[in-house]
Amino acid sequence: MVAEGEIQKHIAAEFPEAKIELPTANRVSLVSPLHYFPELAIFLRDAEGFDHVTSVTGIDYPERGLVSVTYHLSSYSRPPIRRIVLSVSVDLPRQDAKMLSLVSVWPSAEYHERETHEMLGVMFQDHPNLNLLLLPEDWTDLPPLRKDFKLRGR
Amino acid sequence: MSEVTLNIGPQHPGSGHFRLVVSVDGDTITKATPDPGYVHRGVEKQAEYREYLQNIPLLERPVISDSNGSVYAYVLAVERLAGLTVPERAQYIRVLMAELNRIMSHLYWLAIFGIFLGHSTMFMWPFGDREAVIDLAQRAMGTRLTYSYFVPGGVRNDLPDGFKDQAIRAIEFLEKRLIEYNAIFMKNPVFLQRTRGVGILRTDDAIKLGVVGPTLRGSGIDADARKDEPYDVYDKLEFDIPTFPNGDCYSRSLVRLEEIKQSIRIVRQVLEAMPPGAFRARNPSVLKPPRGSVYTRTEAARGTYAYFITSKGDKTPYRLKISSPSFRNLPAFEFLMRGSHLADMPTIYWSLDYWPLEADR
Amino acid sequence: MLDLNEPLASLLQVLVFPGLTFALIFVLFMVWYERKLLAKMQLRVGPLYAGRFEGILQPMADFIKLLFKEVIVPKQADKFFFLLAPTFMMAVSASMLALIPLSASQVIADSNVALLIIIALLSLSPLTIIVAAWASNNKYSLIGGLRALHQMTSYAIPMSFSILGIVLMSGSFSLLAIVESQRSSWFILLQPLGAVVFYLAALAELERVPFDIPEAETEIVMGWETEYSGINYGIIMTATYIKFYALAVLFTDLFLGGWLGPAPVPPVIWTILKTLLVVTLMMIPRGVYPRLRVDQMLRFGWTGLLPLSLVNLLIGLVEIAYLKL
Repeated sequence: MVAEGEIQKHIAAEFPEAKIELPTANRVSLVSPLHYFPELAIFLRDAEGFDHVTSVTGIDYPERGLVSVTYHLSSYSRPPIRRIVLSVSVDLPRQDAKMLSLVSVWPSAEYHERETHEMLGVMFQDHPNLNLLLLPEDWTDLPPLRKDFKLRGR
Repeated sequence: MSEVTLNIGPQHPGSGHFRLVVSVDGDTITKATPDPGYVHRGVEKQAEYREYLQNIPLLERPVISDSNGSVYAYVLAVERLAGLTVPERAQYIRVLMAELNRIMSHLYWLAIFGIFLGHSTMFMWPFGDREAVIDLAQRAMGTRLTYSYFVPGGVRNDLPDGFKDQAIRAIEFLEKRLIEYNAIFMKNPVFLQRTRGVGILRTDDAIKLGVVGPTLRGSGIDADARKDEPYDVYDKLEFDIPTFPNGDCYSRSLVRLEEIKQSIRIVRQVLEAMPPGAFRARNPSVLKPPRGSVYTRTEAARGTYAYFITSKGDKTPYRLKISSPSFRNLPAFEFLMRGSHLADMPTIYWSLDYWPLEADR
Repeated sequence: MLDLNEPLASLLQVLVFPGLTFALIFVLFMVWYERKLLAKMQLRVGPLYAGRFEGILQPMADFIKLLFKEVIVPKQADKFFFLLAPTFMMAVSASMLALIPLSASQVIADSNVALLIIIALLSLSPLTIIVAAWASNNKYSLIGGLRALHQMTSYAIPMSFSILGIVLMSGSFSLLAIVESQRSSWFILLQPLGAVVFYLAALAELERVPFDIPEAETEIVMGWETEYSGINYGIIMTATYIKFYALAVLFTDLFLGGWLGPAPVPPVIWTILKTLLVVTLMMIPRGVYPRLRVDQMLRFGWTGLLPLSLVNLLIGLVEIAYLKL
């Protein structure tokens, strides 16, 4: 819990507008405004040592008009914080969900961002290849993980 | 010969349900683009329509050769969300079954590696020996491959009588066979020629690409969720994380064979230390966890499995995100195959242990 | 030797023994033998049900099944050569067989340059494979055919060199003369290096593991055989196994003294027993080794086998000089 608290303090010092939740064992999560990227990402990678993305989750909140994109980060190069997963969330407007791609900071995010793009309709600017990954090439319907896409038969 | 584009397509003896678009110039691969998505079934979306307990058969299907490994993280996540306790015996049983699944999955991997390299004995022997472990699983859990055995709060039923003796016989048999595998497969001169120095993934590239599992440990990084973030009773057991520094296909193969040995070691300890007691905590079958999110990680056979579950207090999850090891190893395809021989393509592909169903969900 | 004044006897020789019928029966036996041998190595049982004894009729059953399958000719393929290429292969294999004696009197065609003709026929097989691969009009077939061409050409040269020592020692290219000159000692004792080189080169010529790159199924489906189905494929398989049989008997005649052996066992039986031994030795690597990569195979042929065969020739010359052979 010591390391989690330390990380929280460092982030709060550099990026005061980020809302950091109470850290639990091995988990630190924060919600950041969009304008902190990519500086926040570079800070987390270089100063704190979170060198790869374990997943990128997108959650659709239609009643709040938001799509929340969360990057889950972890570290290989610093064994003491390997147990920590740091989640950075960004809230994007549902009708115009776009943000800067973080592939230049973390190459491991490439396929995850591509999947979030096709499943939730989030545009990642400057992404090297934003083609459909898991969906068929001729997909014309809504992004499937949006709440207004209903599964047939349910 | 000018550049030829080959579709190592979904209908190909060397690809599984997955397409690799490969551009070849003579014998050298200039570009290899993976094209997953042929078995995408929308598991994450479907999970939002089912109750937490009903999701277990859904979530173990993507990874049939290691089904306990994929469900373990989910069950832990639900327990953490809902604040459930798990009796100690159940924890030991879960570790035991997860390790047996790891052995099964690695033997399957070795067998298919044999097919890819053109070595039919390497295909026949592991498949035959895997029956010893599948037999154990069938006695304890009822089916051979997909069990629906782990539930939030414990396991579905207790181990049958006489299980311990049968298990010890099975792992002693496997230990003898592993010696033979080492002599005939790992020290085989043609195998060494085909895998040494092929598909080298350096340590810093492995970190940048974010790969997991034996692919990572074959490149010198000893990260394993069982040691980094121990769950259930892993912190009470003694085992090593095999790591090899070279990063070629041979290192990754050695990692997997060593992991079978370590799993046998864990199984022995668990069988010795298993306490009596309840195998499941009494919980309502329709769980309604309070609002919140949780992120859990476990180490399945192919790598780190992670689940991110968000709950709004309903009986179905609001969002279930699966981070599967095969999906996380996808960047390695493009990276490793560029510049290699065409005949190295199956070697590299299978040394990454990519399971199309697991990547597509 | 065929005596054209006795047409009936000659016809029997060609068609029954040691000709077509015997060759086909032996080939069927070899297929069964290989499957059983491989099964025992892999802790399996192999064919079990077809025929009373341990599935001995399994290859026959498979052949009959192939007869019933449809011969699919791809739309864009060159139909004439696609259908004829297997027959070319069969012709080459059968011609080789005709020149190889099973005993002093059991040979269909002999000549004092028999060995040269056999080597020439062996060099013809990659050509037939390229015809099959090209006529298929398929990317995978083409890659497989080119690999086969590279492989067989690279290994035909060490094979030809490995037998030069024997030719010099026996003074003739005729197989009858070569076997006769082994009365004092078998050539495998005098030219062991040559035997090893010939054995490895034969494995490569036959596309057997570890040299089965041309049909590396996990990369290029079935290689140059991809588009072949039905009886067309059956003819290719038969031609391959007849070549296998021919090379095994050739090895016996060249290195193991052919039909020489103590009475009362008839000479033909000696040849067949020794051939079975050679066949077994050629089948065992299939259960033990994975497949080599193309560049590794080529490197081994040119920088490994070729120098070895030349060293072998040198040893042969030294032996001739000092042992007054």
